[in-house]
Amino acid sequence: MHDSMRQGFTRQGFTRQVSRRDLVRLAGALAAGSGLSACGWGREDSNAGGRPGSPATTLKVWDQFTTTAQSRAVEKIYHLFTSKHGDLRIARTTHNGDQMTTIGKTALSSGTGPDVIYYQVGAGNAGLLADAGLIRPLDDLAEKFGWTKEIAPFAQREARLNGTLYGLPHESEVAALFYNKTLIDKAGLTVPETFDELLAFAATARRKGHVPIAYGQLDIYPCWWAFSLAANNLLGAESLGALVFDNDGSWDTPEITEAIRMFFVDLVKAGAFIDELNAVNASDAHAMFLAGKALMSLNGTWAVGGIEEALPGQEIGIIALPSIGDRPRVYPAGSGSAYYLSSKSRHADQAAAFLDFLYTPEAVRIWVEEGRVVPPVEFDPSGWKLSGLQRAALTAAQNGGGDPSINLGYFVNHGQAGPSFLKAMTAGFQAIVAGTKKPAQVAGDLQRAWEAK
Amino acid sequence: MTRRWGRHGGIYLLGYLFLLPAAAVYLVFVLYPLARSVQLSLTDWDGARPVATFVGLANYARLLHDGLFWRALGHNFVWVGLGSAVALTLSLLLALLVWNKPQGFTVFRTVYFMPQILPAVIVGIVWSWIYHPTFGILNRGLDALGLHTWAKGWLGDPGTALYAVLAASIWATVGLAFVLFSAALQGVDTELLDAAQVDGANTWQRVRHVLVPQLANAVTLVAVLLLVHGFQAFDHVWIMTRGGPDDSTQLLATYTYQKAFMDNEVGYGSTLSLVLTAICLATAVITVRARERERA
Repeated sequence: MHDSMRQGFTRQGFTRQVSRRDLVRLAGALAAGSGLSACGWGREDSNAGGRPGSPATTLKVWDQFTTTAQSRAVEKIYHLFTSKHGDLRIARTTHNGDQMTTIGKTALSSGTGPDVIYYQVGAGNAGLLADAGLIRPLDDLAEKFGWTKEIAPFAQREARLNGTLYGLPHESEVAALFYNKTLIDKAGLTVPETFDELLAFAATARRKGHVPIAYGQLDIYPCWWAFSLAANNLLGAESLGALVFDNDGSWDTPEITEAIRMFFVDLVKAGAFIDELNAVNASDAHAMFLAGKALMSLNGTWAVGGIEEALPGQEIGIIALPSIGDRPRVYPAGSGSAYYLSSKSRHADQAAAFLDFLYTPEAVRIWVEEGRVVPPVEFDPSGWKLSGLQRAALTAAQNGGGDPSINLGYFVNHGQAGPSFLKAMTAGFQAIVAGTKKPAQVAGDLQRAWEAK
Repeated sequence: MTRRWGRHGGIYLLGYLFLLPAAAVYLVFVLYPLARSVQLSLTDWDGARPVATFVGLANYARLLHDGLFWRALGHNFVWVGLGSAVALTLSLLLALLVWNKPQGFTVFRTVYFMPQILPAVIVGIVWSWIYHPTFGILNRGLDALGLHTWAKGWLGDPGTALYAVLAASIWATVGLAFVLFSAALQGVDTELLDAAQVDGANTWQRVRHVLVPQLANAVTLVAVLLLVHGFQAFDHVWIMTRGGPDDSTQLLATYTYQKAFMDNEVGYGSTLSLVLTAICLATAVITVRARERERA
C-alpha cells in the first residue's frame, strides 16, 4: 500500500482530510440514494415481468393448492381466465394452511396484499377477517351471478358469517374411512357395516397381524375428523349442524360423551389403531395404508389422488363410519376453504369476474378431472375421465351416497368453532388415549371452550 | 483550503456516522419491535382488526391465573435445567476426549459438530422417525435387546414426550458447545495440571480445581448460550409434537406462538413474549454476574 494512502487511514490523517463539505457531499449522496429508492428503484413493479404492451391490471391471488396435481389444475384454470380477459394478469402465490393463517390477515390489512385470498372457513378463521373488515360481503355478487342457486346449501352455510355470505366456498370434502378391499379379502375379512362389526373386524384383523385402521393423532387436526365421524353418526346431521353453526345444543350431552367414548376408548381398546396413536402423525399413519400395511385409513376425499398413485391395481373403497345402533351413516362434509375478496382491493370488479369464472363448466371439469377437487356445485361427470375411487368420492361428497340431508353432515371444527374449542378437542382426545381424562370430562371441557369461544 | 471543524467535532461526528447503520438496524429490528410488543401487550388486538382496544394490565393479570402458562414455564425450567446441565457436561467430556488430538480428530470434530449445522426441521423429522412407535430404530433396538417392555410411543406418552424432544434438542445443541470448549482447551496451561498431579491431586480434583477454572470464560459463554437457548426453545418441539400430547411439551415459546398466531390473541401473545424476553435477560445477567463473582 502506498504510504500516502496508509497515512490517509490513520486517525489523525483521516481527520485532516474530512471537511464539512465532504460530509455534506456524503450526506447528499445518502439522501439521494434513499430518495431514489423511495421513488421505486429496486421495488417490484405491479406489472413485474410484463412485456411492453402487456396487460394493465394484475390480480393478486393467494391460494393453498400446493400439491402438484392441484397446482397444475389451478394454473390451467387461472390461465384460461386470463386468456378470456386480455387486460388481466394473475400473480399467483401459494401458501399452506398454517402459513396462510399466520400471514394472510397481515397481508390483507397492509392494503398491498392479495385481491383474492383462499382462506379457511369458520368463525375462528375467516370470521376474524370479516370482523376486521378485511374481506367484503358477497351477497350482492351471489345475487348478480346466481351463486345462491348454484352452490350447494351446506357449502353456503360454511361460507356465511352471521347470515352474510363472505366467501365463495370450494372443495366439497368428506371425512371417511378408505378401505383396501384387496387386502381385506386376502385377510379373510369383510368390510364392516355396523359399529359392532367394526369392533369385531378390528379385533380379528389385529389377531391376524394387520393394522385395522391407519390413524394417528399427534397432529392437532386428525382427531377433529374422527370426532366428526362419530358425532354425526350419534347426533345426526341436522342436530350436529344446528350445534356447530347455530349454537343450538350443547357439547356436554350423553350423546356427545358416547361419541367420544366409542371412538377414543372402545375402538382403541378393540385394537383398531396402531399402538401409541398419540405418537403418530396423520401422514405417517396414512403412509401405512399407502404401503399396504393397514386395511383402512381414516382420512378425507382430498387423499384420493395420493391413494390412487400409491396403490395401483388394488380395489379401494370409501365408507362413512359404520352405523351405530341402526342410525344412518353420515359423512362429515364441508368446504376446505373459500375464496374471499379483499375489501381493500383496487380491482374488485375483476376479482368478482374471476370468482364467477371458477365454477364455469370448463373450469369445473379441470377442478374435478385434473385437480381431483370437487367444487360444491352440480355437474354431470358422465364421460369424464374418472377412476372408480374418484367417482365413489364424488358421490360421497355430493350426496353422501344417499339423501344429502341425512347422509351429509358437518365437520365439528367448522362453523362457530373457535381456537379454544379446537384446542380443547385436540388436547382432550389425546388425554383420553393417554388415559389421563375420561370422555365425560372432555365433553365438559368442550362445552366450556365453546362458550369461551 | 477547507475550513476545519472544532478540534474534536469532526471526528466525533464521523464516528457517529459510522455507528449509524448498525444503530439503525438495531432500532428497526430490535428496539421498535420491542416497544411495539409492549404496546400490544396492553391491548386485546387479534391481529386483524384495524383498531386495538387498550386493556391496561389485563393481559398481565390473566397470565397470573393462566394454568397453561405456569405449566409451560415449569416445562421450560425442566428443559433449561436438565438440558443445559446435560449439554454442558456432554460437550465438555467430548472436548476432553479429543483434547490431545488423537488420530481421526478431524473426523470426530466434524461428527460432533454436524448436528449443529442441520436445520431444526431435519433434526425434528429424523428424531420423530427414531421415536416412531412402529418402525422407529429406538423401539426396534430395544426389541432386539430383549427390552420390548421398554418400547413405547415416546412422543405420544405425556410422561416421556418432553424428555424425548429434549434429548433431540441436546443432540442438536452439543456441537456448538463442543467447539467452544475445544477452542478454550487449547489455551489451558498443562503445566498446572502436571503440577497438581505431582502434588497428589486425583483426576476429578485436577478437572474441578485446575482445568475448569481455566475454562471459566468458555463455561460462562456456553452456559449463557444454553440457558437463553433453552428458554427460547421452539423449533424442535413445534416440529415433533406441537406442544402435545395434552400440552405435555408446551413451552413458553410454543405457547406464545399458539396464542398469537393460531388463537389470534396477539395482545396476550405479546404479553407472553415479553415475559419470555424478561426471563432470558434475567437469566443471562444472573449467570454472568454469578460467574464474575465466582472468579473474583
